[in-house]
Amino acid sequence: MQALVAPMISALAGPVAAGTAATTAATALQMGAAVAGGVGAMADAKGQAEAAKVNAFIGRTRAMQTDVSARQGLDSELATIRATLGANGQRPGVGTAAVMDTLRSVRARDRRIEFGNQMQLSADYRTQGRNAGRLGGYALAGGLLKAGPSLFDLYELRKG
Amino acid sequence: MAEIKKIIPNAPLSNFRQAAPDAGGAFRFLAGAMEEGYKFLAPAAEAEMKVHGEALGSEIARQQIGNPSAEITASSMGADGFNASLAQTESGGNYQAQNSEGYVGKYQWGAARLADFNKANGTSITMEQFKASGPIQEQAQKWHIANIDKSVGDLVGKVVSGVTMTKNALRAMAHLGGIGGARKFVESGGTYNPQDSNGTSLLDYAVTHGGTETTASSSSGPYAPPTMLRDADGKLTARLYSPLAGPLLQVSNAAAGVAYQSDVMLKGMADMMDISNQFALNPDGFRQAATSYVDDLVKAAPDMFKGDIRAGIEKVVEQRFLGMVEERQSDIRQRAANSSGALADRWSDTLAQAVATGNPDAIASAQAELSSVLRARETLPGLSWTAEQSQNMIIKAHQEGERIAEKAKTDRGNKMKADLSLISDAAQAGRTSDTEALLQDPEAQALFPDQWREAAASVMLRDEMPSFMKMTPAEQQQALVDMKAQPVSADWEMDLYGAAEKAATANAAAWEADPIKHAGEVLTEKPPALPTVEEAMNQPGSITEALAARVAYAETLKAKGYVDFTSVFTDDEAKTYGALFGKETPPEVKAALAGAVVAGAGKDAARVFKELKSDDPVTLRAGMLMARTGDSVVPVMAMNGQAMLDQGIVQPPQKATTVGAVSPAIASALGVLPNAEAVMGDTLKLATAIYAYSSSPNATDTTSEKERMDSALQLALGQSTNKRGELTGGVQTVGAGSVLLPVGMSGEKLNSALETAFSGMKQGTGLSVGMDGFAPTVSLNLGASQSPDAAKIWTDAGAGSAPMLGGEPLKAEHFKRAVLTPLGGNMYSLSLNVNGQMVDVGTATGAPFIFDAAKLIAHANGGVASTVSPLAHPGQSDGPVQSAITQYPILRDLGLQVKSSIGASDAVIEFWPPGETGDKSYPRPSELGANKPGIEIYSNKARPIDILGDVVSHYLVNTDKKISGYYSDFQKSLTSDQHKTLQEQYKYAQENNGENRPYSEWLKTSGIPAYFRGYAFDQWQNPKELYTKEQIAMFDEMMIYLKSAKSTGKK
Repeated sequence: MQALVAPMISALAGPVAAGTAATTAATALQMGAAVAGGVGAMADAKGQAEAAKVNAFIGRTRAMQTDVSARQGLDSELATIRATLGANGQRPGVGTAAVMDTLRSVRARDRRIEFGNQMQLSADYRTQGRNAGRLGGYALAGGLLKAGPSLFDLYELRKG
Repeated sequence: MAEIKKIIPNAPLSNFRQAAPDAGGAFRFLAGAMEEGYKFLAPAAEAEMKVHGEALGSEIARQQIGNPSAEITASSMGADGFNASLAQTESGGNYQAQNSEGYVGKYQWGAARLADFNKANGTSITMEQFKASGPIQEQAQKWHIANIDKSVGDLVGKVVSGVTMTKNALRAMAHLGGIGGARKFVESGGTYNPQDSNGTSLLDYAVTHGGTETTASSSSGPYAPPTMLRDADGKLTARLYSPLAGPLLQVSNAAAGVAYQSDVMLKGMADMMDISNQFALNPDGFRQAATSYVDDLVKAAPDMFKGDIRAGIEKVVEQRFLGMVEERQSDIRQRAANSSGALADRWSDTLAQAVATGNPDAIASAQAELSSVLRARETLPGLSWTAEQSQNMIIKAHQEGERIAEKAKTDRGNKMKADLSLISDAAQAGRTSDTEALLQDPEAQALFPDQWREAAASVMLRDEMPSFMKMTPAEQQQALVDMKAQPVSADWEMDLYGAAEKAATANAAAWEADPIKHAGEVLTEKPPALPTVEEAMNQPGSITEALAARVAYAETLKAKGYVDFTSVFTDDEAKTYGALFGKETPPEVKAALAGAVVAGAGKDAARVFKELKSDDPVTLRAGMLMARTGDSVVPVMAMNGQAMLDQGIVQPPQKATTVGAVSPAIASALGVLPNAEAVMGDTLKLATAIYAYSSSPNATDTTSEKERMDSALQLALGQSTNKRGELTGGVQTVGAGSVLLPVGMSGEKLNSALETAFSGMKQGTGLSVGMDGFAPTVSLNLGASQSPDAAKIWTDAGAGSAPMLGGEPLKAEHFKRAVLTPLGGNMYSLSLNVNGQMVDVGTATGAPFIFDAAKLIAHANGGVASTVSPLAHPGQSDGPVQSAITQYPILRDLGLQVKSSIGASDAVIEFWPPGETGDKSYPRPSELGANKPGIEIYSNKARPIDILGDVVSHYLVNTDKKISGYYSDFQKSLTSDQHKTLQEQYKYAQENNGENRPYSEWLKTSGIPAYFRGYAFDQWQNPKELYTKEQIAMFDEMMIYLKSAKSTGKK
């Protein structure tokens, strides 16, 4: 971007009368500030988008990790129950089976909820990243747009 | 049922990124820095744009309405300006122009360039079509300029030969020398610089049309020139920034608008004043012109300013219009006031005049008019004239009128007085004043009784006693005495006497002051006129006759008793003629003039010279010397010598400061004269002039300075040597001392005559003279008486008796002590030198002893006064005789004697031959010696030729052989007609002049001599008719003889 602005200023300033040097410089600075502001905003948004992308990926990973961890916890709980029952000599019967089923279903529900939450978070980050990227583009366009009047003034000045 | 407690292990989870990476910071910094830079520059830029805008606005205004101090240059006008400039030099703007080389049109195109245009534009325009069409030429020129700009635009800004290659400079060069030529000029650094047929080089053209066009980058001024754009109407306008431009540019726009508007308004207001001045006192005309002006101005103004400009300017127009209305009204008021004032003044004057005349009708009429004018004046607005002022004006007019009347009265009185005085003066001069009718005016008599009476008496004197003014002063005195003796019976007689007395006094004074002038005023016979100075200068001879007549006239005046002295000139003439003898006149002219004066005035010449008022005493003295001696050699020497002195050719003698220093003898001789100082001074001057002449480089005199000066003094005193070789005149030793002798008198002869006279005196026994106090006392021891002849000698010499001293006659030995003192002419007084004391000698009656030296000499020589020239006799009017002697040498040695008896006879002159005694009624005058011819002059009209005529016809015909021959020849040649004429003359003389002699005697003594004189001596009018040719030839021959020959004196 810097490579684009400098020649523009010099090209415009050249033929403009020396008498309007301050005006030319001021106008050129005003235009440069607008362009540079746009470019800066765009770069900032890009950074935001990248961070959001990373977080979206992390969120997904965390969701999976939560699911795995929940499954492992259920297995260990069921094993504990079975061991306890066995230790008590109780024979798995219908009753025990029902408890274990209930446990299973409760734990599966909790696990799905937790997984879904983590996935949702990941999706939010992904959206946030996309938004930031889009925002960056608009910021650049906005900066260029803001430089427009100054560019017109320079043109006018050049015409004299 | 036992509760199954959830056992939750601490599940490890990935963590989210808490911070995003910071991208774009550099740009934000850049943006911030630029933003700050903008904020910093914005105020300066704003101010800059304001100034820029103002300049732009002013420029637009200037372009629209013009500004002589800021001319729009051709270059700043772009291609149009360049074209205008180019057209001016190429053709003067004439589309139809064509030069001898075939270049045509406003821009002087050639066929080649037109072919280029045709080729480039696909047209086929011929030279004729091109020349005929202005639009085609302009279109082609447009293409031409664009084509040039495109081809050599890259050369703009280069500097060649000190000239910056502007677009216009390149255009001009390319137009003159082609595109290739322009490029070659720039690229060769100006070495290639061809000239066209008019001698214009490429560089010349570049300078002429290049202007001062500048590009933005090389602008020397603070502002870029405005970009000129052509609008839809085809007009050039300076471009303003877009309304869409940012605030900085809007500042410029706003400033331009303000500047434009203010400039236009300013110029508009100035123009309003100009227009209003053009339409002075004509507001309507101004409004019409101003409205038209405003319309034009607004039409030309940019749209956005139209409303403001119209409103602003129209306000000014309205103010100016009201001002002009006010001015006009004020003017009208002022005119009304002035005109009313003038009318009032005029009628006031008229009233004053009317009051002065006292005519009641005129007064009433003038006062009515004045009142009417003043009433109108009172009603004039803005003048504040009051009724009281009107009254004052009328009162003042009356006062002025009375003053005028008073002044007129005084003036009339003064004039009357002056007129009466003039009447008196005129009447006393024997003349008539044209105001004499005033004497009939009773008012004059009442107002100035004394003056009136004097005037009336003067007029009476003139009318009743016409001869009074012509009387001599003595006669007038006698007339007064006679009048006084008359018994007085009326007042007027006393007045008459008073007038006569006054006239007599004035008359006597006038005769005394300037007799000739007075004679011209009062006497019937006017003084003969003298030639003018020019005539005298050119023809000195013209003076001779006039002066002779004038001298005779002056003598007549003296003889008749008008004056007791002779004055020849009026005062004015004396000055005028004196100037003739001034230093400016060349010596030869002066000599000629002096000769002429001497010839004319005769022995009076000396006095004539004395009368002349000249600044050159030497000339006058020389003239007097010439008059006395009759010799012009010495005077001419003196005149030339004086001229040499004046010119510095010679130096006056160093030691000759006084006469005494040169010759004590001369000084002592002159010292006894009454005006010794003046005589010595003048003599010395004359002598110095004579000396100067003898000292001139041409002179061969080798004697010493003192001797020469001494001799010059003697010459100045009239010394010369006579034919006997005797020294005459000057200062010579006679008796016991040096004596000044008259011209022509021999000192030796006088000395011997004196000795002879003394020798007749008794021999004495001694003389003793002593001093008693300051008075000399003389006692004489007398011896035997003198011889009887002795007393006769002295008596014949004019003295009353023999010289006496102390009552006793002088003795023979006193001769050695005799000292003579000149008294003028030949008269001398006798005194004795007794031991250095001068003792006056007296006559028997005790009167001073005065005798005539010439007579003494004559007596000693046996009674012939031959040595004394008639010229030496003072106081006799023998001027014409002297002139005659000068002009006719034949008269010189006749010893002519003269007596002046002016007025004693009707004749002009009378010739007395020797021996002629006359008769009892008219005897020969005693002044004329019996044995010498004499002339008696009766009229001042006597001319030298008349003298000659009488001497010739009465005397020389008998004594001169040749003339005697002429006379007898003439007598023999008389024809019968001439005899008849003589008889008629005799008859006339008998009838008119009382001629009583028989015809034969008359014929012999008067008739034939007169006939003899008639032609030859110019005494008859038209004489040639009365003589035969032979006679005339004979007379001419005789006159030549008379003018050239000296008389033999013998028959």
